[in-house]
Amino acid sequence: MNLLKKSKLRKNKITKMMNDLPKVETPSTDLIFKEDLETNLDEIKKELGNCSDLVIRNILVGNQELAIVYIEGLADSDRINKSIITPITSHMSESENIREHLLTNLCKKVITNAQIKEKFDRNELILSVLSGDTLLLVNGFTEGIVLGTKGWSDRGVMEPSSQNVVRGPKDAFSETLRTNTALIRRRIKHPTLRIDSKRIGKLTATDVAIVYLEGIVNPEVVKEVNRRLDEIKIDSILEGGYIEELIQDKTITPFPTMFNTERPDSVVANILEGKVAILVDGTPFVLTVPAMFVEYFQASEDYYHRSDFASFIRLLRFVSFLMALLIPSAYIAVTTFHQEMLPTSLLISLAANHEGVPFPAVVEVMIMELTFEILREAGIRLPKAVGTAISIVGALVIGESAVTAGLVSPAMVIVVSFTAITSFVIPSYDMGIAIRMLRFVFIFLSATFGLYGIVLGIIVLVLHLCSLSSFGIPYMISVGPFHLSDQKDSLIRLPWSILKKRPSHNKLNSMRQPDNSSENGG
Amino acid sequence: MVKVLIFIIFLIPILTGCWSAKEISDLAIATGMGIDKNDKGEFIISIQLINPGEVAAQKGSGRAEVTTYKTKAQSIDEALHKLSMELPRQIYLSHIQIIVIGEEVARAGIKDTLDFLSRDNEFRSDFYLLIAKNGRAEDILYVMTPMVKVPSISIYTQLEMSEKIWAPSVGTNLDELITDLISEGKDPIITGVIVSGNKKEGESKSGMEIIKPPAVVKLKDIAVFKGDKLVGWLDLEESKGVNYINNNVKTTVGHIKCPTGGKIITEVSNAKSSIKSTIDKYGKPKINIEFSTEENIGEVQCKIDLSKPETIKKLEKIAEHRIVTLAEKTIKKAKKYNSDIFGFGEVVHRDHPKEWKKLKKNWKKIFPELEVEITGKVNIRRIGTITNSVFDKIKE
Repeated sequence: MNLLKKSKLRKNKITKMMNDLPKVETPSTDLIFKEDLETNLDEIKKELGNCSDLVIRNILVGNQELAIVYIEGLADSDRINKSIITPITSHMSESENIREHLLTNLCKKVITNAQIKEKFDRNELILSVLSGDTLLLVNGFTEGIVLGTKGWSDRGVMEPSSQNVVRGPKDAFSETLRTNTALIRRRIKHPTLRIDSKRIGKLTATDVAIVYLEGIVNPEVVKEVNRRLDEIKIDSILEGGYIEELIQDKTITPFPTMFNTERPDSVVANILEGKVAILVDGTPFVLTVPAMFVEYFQASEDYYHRSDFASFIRLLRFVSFLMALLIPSAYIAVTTFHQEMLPTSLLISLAANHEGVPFPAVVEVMIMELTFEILREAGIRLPKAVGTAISIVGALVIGESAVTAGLVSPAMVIVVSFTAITSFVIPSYDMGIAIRMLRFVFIFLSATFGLYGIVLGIIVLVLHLCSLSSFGIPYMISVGPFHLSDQKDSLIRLPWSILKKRPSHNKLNSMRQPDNSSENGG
Repeated sequence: MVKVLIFIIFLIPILTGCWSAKEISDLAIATGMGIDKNDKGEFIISIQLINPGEVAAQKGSGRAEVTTYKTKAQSIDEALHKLSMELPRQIYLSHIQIIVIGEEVARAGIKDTLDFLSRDNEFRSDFYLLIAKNGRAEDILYVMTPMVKVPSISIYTQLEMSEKIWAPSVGTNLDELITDLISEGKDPIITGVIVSGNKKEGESKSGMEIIKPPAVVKLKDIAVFKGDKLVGWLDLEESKGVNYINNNVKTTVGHIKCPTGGKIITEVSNAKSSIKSTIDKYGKPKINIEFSTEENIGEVQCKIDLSKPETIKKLEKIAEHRIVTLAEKTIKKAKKYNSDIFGFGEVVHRDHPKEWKKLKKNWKKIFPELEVEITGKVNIRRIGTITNSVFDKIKE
């Protein structure tokens, strides 16, 4: 009784799915398979070069020949056995009348696999095999049935490795696109969440998903993202970084104009603010656009902690940003140009520190900064166990002995280590990279012009930042152009009860907490 | 074309070649300067330079923390550059703490020395000026100081501290001095400094190894200037007086006579003076000084019942009288030197700008005759943690 009911339900489902299928026009003959099964299989073998991981399973039921084609390792062979091969072999032998409308019956009555699609296009069919689906070919039919059996081994949802939190969700995106979209969908249970898909890369055919909330997102931005994605002509996409470089605004800048994160909660928060997320298959890093400068100083944790603490931490980050950028150059400027600015006793101890050091301050700074950058780079690539050894060697041996050997002054070590520590405070790695590079520009400026050079550099930097834009939105929005309501959530974060509006880059549907009690679509 | 332009723009900073950069290790940080003159009228400049390695806490090879160089030249600037013949580093003047002027130079006039001090861009103008009383400025810069390793810094802090807690000191920096000099109604004062003790021993580092320093640099008395020339000195009492009148007393300690004989020591916690002027119908100016101070009893060395309010009232009266006599004495001395160190002229200028135009030409003649009325108001606030002296009860 129960079983019957269930199968009826399933049937309804399948019928519904079939009705949803878009009407495919029959393409010209060289783009479709032949009616003869053997020829088709030979053709597939030829095209894929008779690869060792290509599996072709012939089934003979009665006198009807069928073949199943899949790639071992990409497709889940367990599922193929249970939901394709077993039903076909058991069902078809018992009832003969099924053959009349064989394909339709196969889809609707026999095969129990959840995803099922009838397709003509030969290339498309082969592509689905290569993406892990199973192709069912039937002798005497030119169309093939694509069965969704993607099931390769996956790292699974793990803790984020680059953006940890003390408080907040601990899951991170993984390499599989479907898992990633599911992580987003799980957080937004609203029908207006849109997930559009694209395949980019002639060779890799990488799946790219564009995720946004209809009704909140600025449609212009979605259109622009689509336009730029469609313009990509590249043979391979291995990471979101490819896409980022190919579609970002064409301005020469060290600053990132597309935000990336491996944390689902911050992607979802961005989508809820009206941004567009671009998910790329094969990487846990998700891009969101448009990006804003302040965004790089906001961690998702800011919104989970108390607002007063979050505000304090945010201010700390901005101060750290300035310090990471300017401490080495300020040190050079003050010690080689403006000694009169220091308190006398500080100057004396700096001078005592510098006694016997053979290099001018700028060379000293460059030596130490480069050493630090090298150590840092060495630490990233090394196996974890050796990484700690490197940090000990770097910190103690080089720092200590360089001072004892009289190569650098102790004050310099303090300056460099302080710079290093402050640069780690910034939550975004991308922004950290920008600061690391600009730091050297500022060192150069201060070594030639002193404080005057630093001020000049800051002016140029601010002008540059204000000239940037990301997908049509000014990079410095909330400061330039100034929006008062954005100040509630930029340098500081006010409590949620006050953050009634979405950030001002979002012109559409800007209320987060509607004044009237009626629900207005998110 | 654009590439060439960008290239040129990037070349610009390189071409400047670290304009006016000076490495910290190329600098000889000067902390003190002494200005003397010889018989021929040449400047003798002594300059105290820091040996940074010796001042820093950890190391130190036993050499002196500072070195004082001396040279003579036609001007200060020349002298400083001439010193490069003896020095491995460039003299850096921004951190000058004190400039000592020899008494002889001060008596002859300090115009020509001040020009360089205020014109040179390296001076920070927050240093103190001092006059080497009865001596030469260079001697002051040769003496080692205990506690603070750099003698100039020690003298600077001495002055700063004693200005805060001891009435007779006054710190004069360059800006104040120049303001006083160019003002028609005020003459400058500068604290004097002497070396007391055995000078020879005080110059060697071994002198610092014994508990009693063989020589110390002491602030002493206040030099009175008339225009840019030193004309005389104020002693301890008069120095107090000038600071009370000039509203320059923060806290200090003084003593008054006890009605029953002996002394009572009072701590001044808040002293204010207000100077006003009036001009009578004959055009004669008159100055009114009003003191109002708050004092605490610091020490009682006599038999007196402090628990009675009348006693306090009586003591207040005595204190008022004392402060008034102190001021009178000082004014008398200033009148003797004919130097308006209190800025009475400025007060008249402020209160009666029109009349001042007529008065200012003859101010030097009017000042010695000037009528000054002084009133004092003293409040004794606290008498300390005990009321009457315990010694009252000691049986004799």
